[in-house]
Amino acid sequence: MTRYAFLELTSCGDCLSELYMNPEINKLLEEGEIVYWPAYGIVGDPEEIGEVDVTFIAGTVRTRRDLEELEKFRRISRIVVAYGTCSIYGGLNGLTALLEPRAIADGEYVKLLMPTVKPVTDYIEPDILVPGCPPTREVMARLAKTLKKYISGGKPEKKIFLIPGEVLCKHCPRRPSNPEKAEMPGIRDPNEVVDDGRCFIEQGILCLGPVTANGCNHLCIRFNHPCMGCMGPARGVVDQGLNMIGSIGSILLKSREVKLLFPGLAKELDKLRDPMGYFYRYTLPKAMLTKLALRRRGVE
Amino acid sequence: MGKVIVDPVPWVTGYSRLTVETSDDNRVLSILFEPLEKRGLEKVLKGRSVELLPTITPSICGSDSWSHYIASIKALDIIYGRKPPLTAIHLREAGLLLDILESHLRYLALKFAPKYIGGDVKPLVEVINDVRVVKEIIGGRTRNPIYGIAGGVTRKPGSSDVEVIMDRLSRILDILEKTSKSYMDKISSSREYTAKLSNDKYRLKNTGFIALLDGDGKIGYYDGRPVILGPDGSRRMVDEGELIDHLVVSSRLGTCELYGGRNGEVYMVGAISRINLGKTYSEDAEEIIDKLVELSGGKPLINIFVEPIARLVESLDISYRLNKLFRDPSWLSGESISFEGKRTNAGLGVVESSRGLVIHKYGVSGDGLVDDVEILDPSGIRLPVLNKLLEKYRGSTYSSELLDDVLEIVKIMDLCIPGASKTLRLGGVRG
Ligand code: SF4
Repeated sequence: MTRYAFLELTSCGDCLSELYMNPEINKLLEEGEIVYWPAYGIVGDPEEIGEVDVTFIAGTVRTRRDLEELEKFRRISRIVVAYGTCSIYGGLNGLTALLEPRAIADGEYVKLLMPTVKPVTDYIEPDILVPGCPPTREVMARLAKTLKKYISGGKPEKKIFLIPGEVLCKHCPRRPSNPEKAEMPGIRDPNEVVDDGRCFIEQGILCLGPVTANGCNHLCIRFNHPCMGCMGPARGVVDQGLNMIGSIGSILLKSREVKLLFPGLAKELDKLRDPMGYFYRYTLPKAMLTKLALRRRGVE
Repeated sequence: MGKVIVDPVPWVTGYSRLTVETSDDNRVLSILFEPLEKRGLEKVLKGRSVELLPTITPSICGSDSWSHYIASIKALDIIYGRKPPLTAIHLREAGLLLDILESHLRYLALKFAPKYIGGDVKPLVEVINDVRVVKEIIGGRTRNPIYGIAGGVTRKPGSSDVEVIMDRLSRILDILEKTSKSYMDKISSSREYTAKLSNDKYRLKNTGFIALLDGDGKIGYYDGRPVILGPDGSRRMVDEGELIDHLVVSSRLGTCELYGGRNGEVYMVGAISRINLGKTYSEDAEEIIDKLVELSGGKPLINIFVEPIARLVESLDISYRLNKLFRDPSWLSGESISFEGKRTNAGLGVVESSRGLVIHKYGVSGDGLVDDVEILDPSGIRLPVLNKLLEKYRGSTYSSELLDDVLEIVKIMDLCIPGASKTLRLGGVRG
């Protein structure tokens, strides 16, 4: 019987419950046994649980206990699934990466915390990575299919990333007919724009499609909402935020640079009030600037 | 002196620890429930562009994510000075109700039924999947929805979507009608459960209730006004802003601030509070409430073991409400956004969630950055209620049965530690 463990680290606390509810995953679980999931009453000392076939891990490493549990479960698990964007890039929880423990807790609770928040992937090598906040139904189905191959033994030879890495813009229903000529008319608040159905960037709305991996089948775009980057960087993109700033600064605003020089390009970029929130909403712990800032603080 | 530590506490979302201190003669000296999941997410809300908050705040509590989202969007409505049209209001309300329904059903199927009802929970799991399909159609995602905009919603379901919605909603109602009847039969004939319902130990003493009610006295999940039923039985409507001041910080644990009243009273929120204060939408739900009143000895319902049944009542009632809303979906033909309005520098959004009140209050600087945030999550309001219930064990002889009993109460409270473990009131502690 396949033995499953559910490990929830610091997070919003819902990813693994959602995973459990998915019919395809639920069927697999019913044929196996859940040996660890405190949120649903299944507790135990990881040292005594024995071998686990598949451990699903969601969330980030913020507390020392998170790290201890993570390392223990990696040791005893045949397959580790990093589930949800938090576990791979930090996710929304990663927005706290620059907060020192003292800003989050006081008294004896400070000692419980790691110096910063990091995704699971900074500490261990998962076998399967499932991004999304939350991962979509299609991706969950893909996960069930992948797990079926390894139910009776073995593990993936190399890391499996469960979404295609291509940029979201590639097949976007709003993709401009001639992307080379696309222009961004300055930067606007999405709440102030009467959406005309064109590419968000062409309407002045920051859409992270140019730097984000497509693992959602354009879910937000189909809901007339710009991409927020929750699937993490597309293949070849090292730093989602820096690449996006590069995109809007040097490509999309380029053609308007001359015009913009008169109120001023810099002035237009100034409208970008909250670059951290816009560009690193889901990936701040992985940002080069975060790493630099932490290094200056002596945190590796 | 002895110490029993339960770490992690089971049946709780997020990480927490329970410590029971005992005397040399094995009496309980104290029981401490500590939320240990420290995130600090609310700290980084300050300084954000206000329009981003609806996409970040749902992460405060994953299992009530839509409530935080809708509260946040409602706060944006006020900041942008817009009044959403009826189509948007109904779609937001529908999303909120579906999320509450999913949370209730997950609780009933995975936490409550296996112990007290037994049998197959598959029908409930099927309903949960139907609910999730409808949520995706309305708000894009099952968690962290994406259809809100200041003054409305960004997408309306098309006619084929509406067909699927109606089909699933009628199936949900059908299953819930049957399930609630069979659950009530089982509970009424369960000695163990009825004994709990009449046991004084589980009564909420010196505890008030808060719920949102509409103008007709019905539960107003989306846009009701807060009503307080005090521990002394007094009932009054309060202003949403006043509510934040009323729920002063009663105690601090690490950085987890717990909300209670100025006079040491605590307030329960969520299903039990709502059915104590408000009228339901369906007669079937009222019938179950009457039965509950009979089993637990009068109204207001103050036994904590009523909470799971209150969640069952609400599940049925919410399904009625949703079916009624979509039976004649002509309201969908209206506008979905209103752009009219003048910006202000403060916004407030108050809604119900499965566990109770969610309040978001934002202050915004001239350049649109958030400079003040206050967020109340219902698990933070429930924690002092839990502490008060656990106080009753002081002086009792410690045994493993006592510990099981304590953990059962924790399970009934269904806390979300990521939601409760927050440093709130960035401007300093008031009260
Ligand atoms: S920028 Fe956004 S809207 Fe435009 S093509 Fe890319 S994903 Fe689509």
